[in-house]
Amino acid sequence: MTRSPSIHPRDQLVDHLPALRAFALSLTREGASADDLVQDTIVKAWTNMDKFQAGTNLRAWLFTILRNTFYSSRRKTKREVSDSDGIHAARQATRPDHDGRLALRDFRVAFDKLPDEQREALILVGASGFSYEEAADMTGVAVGTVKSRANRGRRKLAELLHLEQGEELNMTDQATLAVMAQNNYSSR
Amino acid sequence: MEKQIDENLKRVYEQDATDQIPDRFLELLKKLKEQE
Repeated sequence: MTRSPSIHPRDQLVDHLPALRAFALSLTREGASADDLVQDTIVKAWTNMDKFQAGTNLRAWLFTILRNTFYSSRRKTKREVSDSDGIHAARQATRPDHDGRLALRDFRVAFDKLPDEQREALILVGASGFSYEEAADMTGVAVGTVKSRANRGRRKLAELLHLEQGEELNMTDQATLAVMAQNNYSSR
Repeated sequence: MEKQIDENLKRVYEQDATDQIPDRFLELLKKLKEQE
């Protein structure tokens, strides 16, 4: 991303809103809470912009604010915001997929079943393209922890999809899972 | 398998990220700017 340094980070906020919303959705799994979370993040980012180090990754900074806000509000309310009914997935199901693939919906349902820290790790490194090091910085844990969270998440997803999906994925998964189970046994 | 899963992750994520941004966020940014 090449941006003129003369553009104030505040004016770049709007460019990151779609990604922030997607990240918020992956954490809250529910549209209204996700939007509230994005709103809080915007206000916090705006009022703390002097703490943002120019030249560093603005998106990573915003994502960090968002996930910290998510976890601190959950601690505050001490209410488990669980979406066992798959509200997020249900919301998604009401509109057609880009590529019309039903499998994507199954994938989303499976993804929503993962624990918070695994969803977070997978979105950061698997979907958003952050490095393990960046994700570790953002979540305040060791690089190895991010790796193991992401791998456990992938393994769980494969497990869940193996139960629900067709044979094409099965063949690959069986073999790969066996290898992964061996490799990761000691890191559990 | 990792590749396959990450591809699906990206698809789900991009699908969410292409949603239209609600007006409330743009209005909020405008309001914050006016308060400067």
